[in-house]
Amino acid sequence: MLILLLTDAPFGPNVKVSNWDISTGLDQLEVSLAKSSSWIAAHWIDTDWSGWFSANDFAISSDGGSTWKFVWYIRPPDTVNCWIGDPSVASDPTNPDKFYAVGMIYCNPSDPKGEVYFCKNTGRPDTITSWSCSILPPNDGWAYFKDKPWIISLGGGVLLVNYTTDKYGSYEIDIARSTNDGSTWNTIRLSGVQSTVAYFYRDGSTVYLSQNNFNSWPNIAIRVRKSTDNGATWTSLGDAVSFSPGSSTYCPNFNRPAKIHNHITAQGNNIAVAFIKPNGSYCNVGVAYSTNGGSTWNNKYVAQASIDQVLPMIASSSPSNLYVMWQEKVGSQWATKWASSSNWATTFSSPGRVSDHNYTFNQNPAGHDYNGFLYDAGNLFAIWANDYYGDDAGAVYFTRTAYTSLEEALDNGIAGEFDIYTVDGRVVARNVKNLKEMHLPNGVYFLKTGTRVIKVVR
Amino acid sequence: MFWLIAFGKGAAITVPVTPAPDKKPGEWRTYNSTISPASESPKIEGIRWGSPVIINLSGKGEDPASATLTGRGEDLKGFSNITVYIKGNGNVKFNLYYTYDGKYMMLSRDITASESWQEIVFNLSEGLEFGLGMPNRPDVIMPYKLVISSEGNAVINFGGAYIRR
Repeated sequence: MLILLLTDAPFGPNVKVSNWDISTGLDQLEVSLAKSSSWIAAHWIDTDWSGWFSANDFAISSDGGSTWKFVWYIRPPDTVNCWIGDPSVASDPTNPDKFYAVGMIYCNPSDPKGEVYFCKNTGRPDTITSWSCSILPPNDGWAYFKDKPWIISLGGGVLLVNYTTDKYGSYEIDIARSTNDGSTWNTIRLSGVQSTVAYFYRDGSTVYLSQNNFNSWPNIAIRVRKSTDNGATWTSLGDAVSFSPGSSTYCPNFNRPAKIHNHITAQGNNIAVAFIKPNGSYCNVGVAYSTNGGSTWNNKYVAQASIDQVLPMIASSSPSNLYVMWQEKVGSQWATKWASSSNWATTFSSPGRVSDHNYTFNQNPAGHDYNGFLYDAGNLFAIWANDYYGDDAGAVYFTRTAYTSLEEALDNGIAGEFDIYTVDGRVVARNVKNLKEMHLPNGVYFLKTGTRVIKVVR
Repeated sequence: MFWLIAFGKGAAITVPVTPAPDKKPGEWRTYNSTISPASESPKIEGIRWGSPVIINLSGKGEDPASATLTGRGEDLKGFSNITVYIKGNGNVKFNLYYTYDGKYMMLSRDITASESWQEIVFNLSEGLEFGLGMPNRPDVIMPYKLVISSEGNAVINFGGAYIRR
């Protein structure tokens, strides 16, 4: 038993979420992820249709991601003049059965405009009849180009959706805010910053927002804001980083504007944003980080290399522990990788694997600007798309870690009398009742109690 | 306001859409600003884009003003620059959004308007893709548009924009 465990990667076997035989060359793209204590939900772009270009799919797992159920897809009724994109999903932190989804409906191919759709369930999230969708207010009738929505639920019916809009001339981020579970909404304009992409993260009673900032174009900055009143008002924390994208926002081996990306996490006064930090002509993963609430910022490469690394997604579990996931070119193929930091980005581990395989990858996709990566209750949960492993089409894959930090394992109720092993199988101690009093050197260990074995990192 | 259709690998939710009509090339869209006709314009060469107008921008701090000149819904392929002529007073920002070499680009300039005509040249090869456009559908080409914005008050005599090879 222990021998088998020793060969495990930190992430478990990969599960194909888009679990049908996808038509040749048609991709599953741009997947987002949300989790409650009962369910894990995914929402992504699906181009595998014969009658129209694309729909956004919603699937859910009730067994921790081992199996997935395709619940619904959304598309406009006019699939010639309108089409969809940019799916984002969120879970209600106060109701494990409640999920929300947003995405784009674009219309007018000759002069594209967009409105955001908003979906929520009122019964079981794995049942289509529980779900209803509508256009997010204000419905301007496709008068403006809105794009790239991202949703977060703060619980108790409080919802925030950010998106970019040209309503005010140049592109800015607006926030739609509801305090009654999406029945009514008001709009908050984050003026003063030209911006096309924003993300949310909630840390306790503080909500953070990261957004790209084109005010000093052709340099790109990342502006960070925070709210301490459930998203009603926002304070700027300034720009976390500013950089020159060089001659293109694309990457040599990824034909998307990857350098406009910014994904945020925070713990107390520690804030971190994952972005693409150019490395010569290559796209590499960077992290801009602060340990004083955004007063000052540093930034660095996570794993500098002369290859393309794209779509970095960031998660955290404590004011020390930071995790980054990305997709990276490996030879002629790609892989999903990750790295961790136990000192809030001061140093990072060597990259490890998230995908248990390398895969062919569509380097010229019709949209692929993010993946899903989150931390919950001692584990990391990862989902990515555009993965041609064993197939002739780009699929969505999911995996999760099988280990946790010792402190987090204890905080999540891991209790009993343990035998402790190192990763090479050496017994460190037997019949340990109080793990907190064990002064283990930093490293990965196996804890065995009865028939149960868990991996932990110290 | 929605309906369900049982279908194949899942079930569909469709949302009704009622798109607004396209803006015609040369039309202006305003926010906290007004547009009035003007007769004065410098004599220059090129394909004219937009008639001479006077733009009165009334930005209010966190609520900046803008006037947006709508372009044509086709590619600018084959053209090298767009030249804009203005005079007036106030500090304004020009943002030109356009599709070039298959990507949706932006060029940006901060201008202090003066009583003399100024020539502002946007070299289309100098823009960078900023991450919008061709949204998930490769056959879509975003039209171009010129946004003139101000965080305060500004009055701009817009002499027209000229598209040149």
